Amino acid sequence: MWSTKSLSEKTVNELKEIAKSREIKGYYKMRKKELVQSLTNEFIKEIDPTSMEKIRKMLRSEPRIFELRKIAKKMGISFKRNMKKSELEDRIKRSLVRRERAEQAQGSSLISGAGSRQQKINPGEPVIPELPKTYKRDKLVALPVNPLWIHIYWDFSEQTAELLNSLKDRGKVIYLRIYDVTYIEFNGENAHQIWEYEISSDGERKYYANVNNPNASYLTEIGYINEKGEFVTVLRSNLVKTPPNAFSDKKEEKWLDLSSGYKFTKPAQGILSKPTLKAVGGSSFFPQEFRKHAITSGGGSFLNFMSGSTQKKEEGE
Amino acid sequence: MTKGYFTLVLHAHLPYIHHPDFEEFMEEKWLFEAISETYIPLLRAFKRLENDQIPFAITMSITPPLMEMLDSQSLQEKYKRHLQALIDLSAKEIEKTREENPKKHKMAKYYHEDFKDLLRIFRDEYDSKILNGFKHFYESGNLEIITCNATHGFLPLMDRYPNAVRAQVKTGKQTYKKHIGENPKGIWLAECGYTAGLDKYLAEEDIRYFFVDSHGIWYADTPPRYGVYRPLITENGVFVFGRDPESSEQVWSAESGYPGDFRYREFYRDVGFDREQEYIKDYLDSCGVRSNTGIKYYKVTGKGVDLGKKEFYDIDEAMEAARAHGNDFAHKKAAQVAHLYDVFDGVEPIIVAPFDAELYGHWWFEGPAFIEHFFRALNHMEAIEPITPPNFIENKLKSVQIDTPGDSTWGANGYNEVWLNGSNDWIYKHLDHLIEKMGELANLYKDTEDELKIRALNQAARELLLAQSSDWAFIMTTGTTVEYASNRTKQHVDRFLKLYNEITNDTINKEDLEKVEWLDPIFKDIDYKVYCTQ
Repeated sequence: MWSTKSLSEKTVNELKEIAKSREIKGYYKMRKKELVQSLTNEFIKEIDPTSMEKIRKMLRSEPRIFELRKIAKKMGISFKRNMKKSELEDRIKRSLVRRERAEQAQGSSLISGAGSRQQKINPGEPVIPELPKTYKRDKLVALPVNPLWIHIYWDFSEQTAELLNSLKDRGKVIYLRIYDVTYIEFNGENAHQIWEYEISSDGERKYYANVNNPNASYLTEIGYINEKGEFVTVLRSNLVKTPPNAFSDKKEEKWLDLSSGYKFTKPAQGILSKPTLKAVGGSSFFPQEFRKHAITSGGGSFLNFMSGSTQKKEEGE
Repeated sequence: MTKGYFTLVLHAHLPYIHHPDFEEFMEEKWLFEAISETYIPLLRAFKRLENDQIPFAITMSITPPLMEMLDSQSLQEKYKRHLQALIDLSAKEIEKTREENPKKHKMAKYYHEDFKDLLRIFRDEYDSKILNGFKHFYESGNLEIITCNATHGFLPLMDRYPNAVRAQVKTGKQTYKKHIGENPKGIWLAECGYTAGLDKYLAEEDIRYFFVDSHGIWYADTPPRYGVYRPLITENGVFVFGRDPESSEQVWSAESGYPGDFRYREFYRDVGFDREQEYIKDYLDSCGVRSNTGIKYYKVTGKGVDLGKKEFYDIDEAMEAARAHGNDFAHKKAAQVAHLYDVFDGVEPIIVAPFDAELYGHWWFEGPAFIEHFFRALNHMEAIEPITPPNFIENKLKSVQIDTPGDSTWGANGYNEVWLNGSNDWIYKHLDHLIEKMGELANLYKDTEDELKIRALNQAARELLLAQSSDWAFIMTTGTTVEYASNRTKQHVDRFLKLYNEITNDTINKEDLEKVEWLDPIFKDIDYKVYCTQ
């Protein structure tokens, strides 16, 4: 098995010899780079995806990333174009080992289970199921992301999808509307603020909206404008409340005496040991670019060193 | 005179990773590393404190999936095999390092003895059940063990579904009772995730207290007079403690935190990566992917020092640093309570410092020693006393401010964006759908006496709970082992949907059901009726 690396170490004449024996068309007029390229392709073509030994050999010969991509493709392993070489290599190795185990297991099908129970199970490469793209039910859901952003996702029943399509055919535009309904009984017209976004019925069924207020309530709707110029609601979401990011200005504290169960109030004084802090959340949220920023903390420490960690390091007292 | 109190909270959690269909599985090693590097080293530190009669008080959440894994016989057996391999490897390392360097050689000998001792403790002292070790300190009163919601599901994005939240909380309580023998007094909400109204479900289960991050207290509905330094009580009668930002900063900070000391062990240099493939391959996952073994020879060395330029680790020097840091932290905490006591005009503050348990030992190798020395130092201080939340509530708290904390988490930027962003938002459509379908099943079949159907219904509930682990969304955000997390989500959703179809069509396949019961055997005693909505 040859890789780009081992091939590059050969002389042009040696390469031509090999190319000749492999009946590669037009080898005689190729430059070294082209020879290496077409020979590598040739060898990869020869790999039988079921021949794990060959793939292993290939891996040991320090393959370049495009060679790994070809192997992965051959083996039916999914991968992303921007994947790092080491990640791709890991993925191939894992897949190999799971295939091997699957083969072994088919030979000897008894594998001991939890406890003393023994079961006949063929493990093998875990089959990764495809999940439904739609559950064909009407759904419009709004979720809080942080004090200034909400996430909305939706799904349609067949009936609704048909309705929206027919509206579209008639040239109607489908809108996602977001209403600020903080402290009001919403009647469709009395929102503090309304935002409107055009959505396509066949595009991605989700949206991130930058809303104005922390500690505020929002409602969202999907609908269209009828002939009379009125907004017709097709779906309405749940109410979503953004988290607070500032001190309360309430003037009264409530207290409970634990021994008597007696409740009483005191005038609020604010926080006695006031933290000097920056407002948390809000500004740094960009759905597309978020992953780059998000890696600095979060829960689940075993999985990530920075977890549960220094997100408030600028805010210490 | 006591001027204030200190509560150390360690949140011990790993997602439920259990693959009985594989002889070894790379992600199962997370548990093994946590046992070797954090859980047993903590038990050792507790024991040394106990032997020297040093009073200590630690609050530890051991999450339901972690309890279930620690109790799993197949994982216990795998862990012993894992340790045995490391004992062999470290024996080889003793030979190999003899020529290389005396400092490396000294550490190789240390690791060899340490692995043998870990095996002895695990197998002989605790009969493979290290939960018994924690239980011992729970009974002695030094360790307050609390629970967590069932699979560490992220509750702030679940609160539209009371039955789903209730199932998470109830199952957390039941699992605790199964393993600890009593009802939990407190709970750690997964990711410290709180949203108004969650306290109601805790009250329903007689859970008396929980924790929120600092800004959950600061931005409470009415201004909290004492900030994070006194608990609040919610309208539903549950006590809530707030995280002290100063303690987090002192330990955690990437800039100035203790774990960054140059004398401490470097996490990212491990023989699993440093040795040649041929020599080390039998001790790595059989797919040959490089991974940590726990044998590490280098120290942090300096700020921004290239991994290749690290110097050899000296454990004596590092342990001396841990002692000094434990001492320093105790002095800082004593000064902090004295200051707050004055600001509060004689009201005693309680400083609450929660951390992921796995920071201590796994990431910060000397962390358990730091904790030990911290309590030794506190023992000499009059102004400050370590305390558990129930002890504080029962004996030190006369009156308490009634308030509603602000919605908050301990994730990056303090809210939900770690668990809801472009990399993981696709999961909520499925999770929400499953919750609704589970409620439908529970209502439809609440009176069924068909045993097979009951089993399938319970398994469906397990699959839903497993799909809800916040860990999957978290991993998708951090970008490492994303494929595993996304596969796990898909598998549990898929298993649920299949069960749903079989249950509603009366086509339950007994063999298939047995297989998923074997693959996902968490929460043996779950009752699907917890999902009923009517």
